[in-house]
Amino acid sequence: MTSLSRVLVEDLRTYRFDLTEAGLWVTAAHRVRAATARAPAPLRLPVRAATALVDLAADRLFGIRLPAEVELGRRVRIWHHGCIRLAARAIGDDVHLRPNTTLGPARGAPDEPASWPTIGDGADIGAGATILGPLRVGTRAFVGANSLVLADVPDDTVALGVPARALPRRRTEAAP
Amino acid sequence: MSAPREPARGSRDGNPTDIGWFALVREDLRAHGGRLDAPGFWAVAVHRFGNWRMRVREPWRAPLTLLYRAAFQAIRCGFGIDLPYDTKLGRRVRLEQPGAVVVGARAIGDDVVIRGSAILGVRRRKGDDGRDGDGDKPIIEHGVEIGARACVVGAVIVGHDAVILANTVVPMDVPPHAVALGVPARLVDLRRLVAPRD
Repeated sequence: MTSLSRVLVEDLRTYRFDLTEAGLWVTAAHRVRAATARAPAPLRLPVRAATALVDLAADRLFGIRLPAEVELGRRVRIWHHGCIRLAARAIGDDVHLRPNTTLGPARGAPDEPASWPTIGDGADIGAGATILGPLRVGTRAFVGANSLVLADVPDDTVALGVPARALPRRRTEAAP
Repeated sequence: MSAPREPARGSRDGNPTDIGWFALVREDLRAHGGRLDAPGFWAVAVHRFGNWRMRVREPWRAPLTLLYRAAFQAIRCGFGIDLPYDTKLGRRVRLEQPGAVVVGARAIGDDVVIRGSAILGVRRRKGDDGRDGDGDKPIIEHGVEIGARACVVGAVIVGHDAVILANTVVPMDVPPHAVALGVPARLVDLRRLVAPRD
């Protein structure tokens, strides 16, 4: 439980204590639900009800959907809101996500975690990016806005275009 | 387009100075087809109000600020239009569609049209703290048309009367009257793209 509170405080800091950010609430609900998954029913069921309510509000009012199956890293930041669907097997630490982003299965694949993408640590996903299929976006990769990613993105590259092509990150843009 | 040295952003009324407040909002309403049910009009009206309130001195400003913040959140949550008051907004700017419109620009000129899910903002976040630099945001000159789901990112200038077509990503300056298309954008000749109408 202490680790949950520590992670939540970290999330608050990631969102600069702005409680009006829908992404913060979605993230918090997701963490609380995951932390109480094995708890006894008297604790688990009210928590489940509360997080379901937050998820419903986030989906209908803000357009952010983060399935319970997603393995969510720390300090993940969802910027703004609207048309965000994050069906990923895992989202790494320090990932940034933006409006109109869709993560999910490729066409024809069943909508289950095995056919969802994996987002590596420190990846930066631009607004409107669509990442489909059981692929992997590498650590510190940068997916450009409105790009369509259908294949693996190597570490430290920039993927841009429809469909996305991977380019090495420019030296000036190298991570510090 | 060199901006004159100004006090801190958002510390004073940034509305166009060549028109009174009510006339300005009436003009905004006309720009949105005179429809009071246009979400874009309300987003712009709240933006104008957020600026106007900076003329009022403290402590009288505090309740207006509270009202502005509540209205801003309602627009942001209800319509999905994120238009902070410290974005400099010209006259007759039209926001066509609600939903995931993020207007993080330094300045937007007169008669600009912004369509649904368009995003103006930073190109890359700065530093490890995830803070976005303000000088990293675009400037949109007058008469620009920004298509649905287009993204204009970084400290770029989109020249007057340029057209950013739908789904286009613009990470560079766009000259006046140009037409940008693609991810990333190329400049194209619109007349060749669109079949001639007889």
